[in-house]
Amino acid sequence: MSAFAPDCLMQLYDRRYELEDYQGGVPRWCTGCGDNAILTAVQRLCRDEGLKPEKTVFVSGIGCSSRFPHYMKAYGFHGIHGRALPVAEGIRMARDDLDIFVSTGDGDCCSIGAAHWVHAVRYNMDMTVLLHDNQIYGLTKKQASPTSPRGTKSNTTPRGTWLEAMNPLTVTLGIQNVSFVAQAVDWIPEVLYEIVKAAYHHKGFSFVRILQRCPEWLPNLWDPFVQDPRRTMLLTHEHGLSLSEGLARVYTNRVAHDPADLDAARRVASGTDPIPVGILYRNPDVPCYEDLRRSPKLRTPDYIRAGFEAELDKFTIWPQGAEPRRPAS
Amino acid sequence: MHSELRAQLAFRFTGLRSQAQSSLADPRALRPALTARHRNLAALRYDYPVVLPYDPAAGGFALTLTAMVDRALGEKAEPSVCKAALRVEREIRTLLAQGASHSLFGLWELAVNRLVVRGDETLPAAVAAVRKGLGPDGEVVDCDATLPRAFVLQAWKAVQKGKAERFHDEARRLIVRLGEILLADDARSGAARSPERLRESVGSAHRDVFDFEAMSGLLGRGAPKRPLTEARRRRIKLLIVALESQRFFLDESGYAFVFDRCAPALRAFRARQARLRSLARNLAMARLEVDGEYDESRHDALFQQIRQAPLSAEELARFPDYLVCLRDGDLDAQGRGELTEALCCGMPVKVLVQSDDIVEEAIVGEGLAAIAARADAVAGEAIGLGTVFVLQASASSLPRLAERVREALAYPGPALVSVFSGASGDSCCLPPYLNAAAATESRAFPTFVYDPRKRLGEGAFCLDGNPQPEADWPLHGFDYEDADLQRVAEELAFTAVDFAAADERFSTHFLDSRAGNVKAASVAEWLEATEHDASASPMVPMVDQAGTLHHLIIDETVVSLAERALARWRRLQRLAAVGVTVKAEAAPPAEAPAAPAVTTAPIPAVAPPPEAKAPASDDPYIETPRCTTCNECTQINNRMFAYDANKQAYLADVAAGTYRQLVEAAESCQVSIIHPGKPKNADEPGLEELLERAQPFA
Repeated sequence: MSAFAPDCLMQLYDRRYELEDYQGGVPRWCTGCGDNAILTAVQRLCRDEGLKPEKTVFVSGIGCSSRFPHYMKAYGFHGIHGRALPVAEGIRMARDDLDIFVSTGDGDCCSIGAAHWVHAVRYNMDMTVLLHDNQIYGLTKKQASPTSPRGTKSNTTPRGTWLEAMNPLTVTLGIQNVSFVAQAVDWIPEVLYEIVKAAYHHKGFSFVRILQRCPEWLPNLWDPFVQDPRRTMLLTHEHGLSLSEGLARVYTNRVAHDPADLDAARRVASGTDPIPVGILYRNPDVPCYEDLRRSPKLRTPDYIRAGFEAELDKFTIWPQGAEPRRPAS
Repeated sequence: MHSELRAQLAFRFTGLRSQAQSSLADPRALRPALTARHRNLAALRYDYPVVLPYDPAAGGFALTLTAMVDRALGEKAEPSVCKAALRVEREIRTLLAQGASHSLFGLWELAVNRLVVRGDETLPAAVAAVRKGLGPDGEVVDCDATLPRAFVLQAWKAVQKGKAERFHDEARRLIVRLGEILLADDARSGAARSPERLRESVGSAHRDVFDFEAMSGLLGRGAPKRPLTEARRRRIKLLIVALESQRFFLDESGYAFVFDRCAPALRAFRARQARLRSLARNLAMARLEVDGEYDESRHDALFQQIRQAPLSAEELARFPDYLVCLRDGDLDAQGRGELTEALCCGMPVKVLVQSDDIVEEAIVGEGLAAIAARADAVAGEAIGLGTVFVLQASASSLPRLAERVREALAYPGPALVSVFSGASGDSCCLPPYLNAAAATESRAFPTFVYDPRKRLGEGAFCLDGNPQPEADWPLHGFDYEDADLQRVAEELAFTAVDFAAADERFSTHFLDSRAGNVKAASVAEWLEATEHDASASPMVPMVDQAGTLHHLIIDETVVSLAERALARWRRLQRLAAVGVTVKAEAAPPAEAPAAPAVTTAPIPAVAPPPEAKAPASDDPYIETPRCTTCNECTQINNRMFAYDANKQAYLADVAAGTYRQLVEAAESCQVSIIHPGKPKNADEPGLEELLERAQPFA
């Protein structure tokens, strides 16, 4: 045995995790809610990747989706409305060793959190962002959200929404420095898992829009798509999604799409029927903000104090004849 | 004439001269023909002198003056500036040849001043910009007896500096993180939450605003109940002290790592073993502590066990290497034994063996000469150990082999660097640089690199630093004027005979063929031929100081020297697979694309639900892989429906519920993957209606 033995030897733990190791509280989502499928997919990912719970953090804002951190046995931050992304970015800058997941909803991200969303895409910090898009404000009992289809009747739009729904995919693909965009649906768990896994492995801001059911407020919204597999268009590619045989038999509407092609991604993203499902865009070469800003200097307390003193010295008025202190090196 | 011919042939076979034949008048006046144009090295631009920067990290550990001046001139310098800069460069070479010893900037100033004194007053202004662009200042070293040690020592320092930086980076980070663990624990302690400490932390401006007693009470209620254990706190403090007080990576007050003999290096290494293991252990423990992975119940015993365990070569490579600089005169029997022990005992040692004179008495003695036999034996032994990186080169080649030298010194294991300095003293008519270059050219001291990490035939043995490595001898064009004043162009091979001819100790083995009776043959052709013309003799072309070409007959002693040099060279060629056709291996398969592999296989193996096999049409089943974990079915009956290891539903116990529950579950299922089949209990009420409802899910 050597002193520099690899970590796997030095830790000497039996580090195989089960799904239950990541189960926090019992979910209080409605029966049939698509959030359950997303939770299962993420827990499977954590298990299969062997993510250490103490090195994993889930950040959320407000909404049904944002209950997510409570149901994961890892670190979590259930923040305020629309502010999941800035909190997650702060965590990334401070703790480069953590795996960060963000659970946000169509209201939390695309409405009140829209400004943070735009710049978070631009900063391209390494995190996996799951947009739980049920196209309604569910927690507050049925108000229209930016992604509600035109004509959706809700408490705030009793005559139906007037505007075309926002498309989070085309918005994200239009932002500078976008590096990973994908769309999944909660009723195909195999594909959902593979997309979340690909998003996790991408180094950068991974944006996954997950179309999910809300059995309480929009119980039949996705029925036509669930019942007719042809209305789901799976995007396949050697660098994207590959299907199992069973899935390929059911979902015959498949299109080869190269995730490296941004223009093609934008075209595909515009489609709503059939729903494009898969990895729309992936670019591993976009630099991450935290890497660009990483300082080679070790930020010891003395170093920080010296820098602070040097800044204050710039405004210090010295008594006549007094030697000014040298600036920090 | 016939007698002259016989006398010359007799000399060739026996080395004996007749009374009429004289020895070479002044052996040192003759030099190999191919070196004739290089009498004044100061006037030439070549790889010397070399500048060894004081800061090795700034652009390389060894830079040639030529390259530095060229870089300073750039591509767009004015012709007058180029000319002025080259004059200064030449003057620097002249100064060095006269024995000057300064830094680069010092020599530059000195050279400029001398040229100004000779009348070129515009020179300083002309070369001011070049001076600024020269690059880092450093020690200037010419090709002489001090060069090999200075060069290798500089390379060693550059490598050790890199190791020290990496170590200090990590150690500082670990010390800071360990300190933060202690600070965080202090901050959460009761003492830190006392009203007095809280008052101090707020600052004077707002001290009256807060009720610190209440604040302390509030914070105390929320404080974590598990502070650091005393054992952990003590361990962390000891780790900090250990990392701060290590002596392996200090410049002056630390351990010394440069020695002139192997024995003291070995003693030092052995004496420091315990401390080295302790430092390695402390680093590993600190990493675990910082990551929160240290488990006393397991790691305490582990680190006790490895207290005495030796460190591997990779682990030792993180720490400074020992550099031993030897001269070949140090390699008597005891010296050779110490060298072998140092190379094979696991010590992280880099050994320089410097040879100043490679003309030796052969092993068999009796006055027979050998060339580089000792160096050959030392290198061969090192290669035979199988774990030693070996680099052999003449000093003339070192600037171009700088990266290979660095590679040798960065190799994570023992390395041997064998260098012929060329400074053979007065016996050689050539200056050290040319003597060293001649040794390489003539295959007397060929350049090679042996990397034990690779396999033979796959780059382990490399002859790249030699001219024309695929040939027996390098061929060079040689033009001269014959007796009829006609220009003659020939291709001459530079052989081991040329090297010997430049050394006056071999002068008795050469005879000037003034009478021109013997038929001339080139040495290369002579060695290649299996049969020889009895009236012919191998000859070597030499040039005297007046530029007159002479052809010298060589005797069998020198021919044997050349044969042995050629045989050794051919062995090296075979080792390096030079000129050997190697059957091309199949190209390795293309690497998988960088994107994470998305499976095409079915869902990863989980505990298969009982319905995994193809169900009979009347049996109920669930398409488990398509389950979205929506809880609809488990809410209806969580004994009939259960979740597997992937939290996807399967039929755990059909008998635990009714057919009605199966149908209701099928109707509730969001993705319609539940298939009720046919009822098992014919007495269940409402079956007719249930069967109709189950129809869409068949």
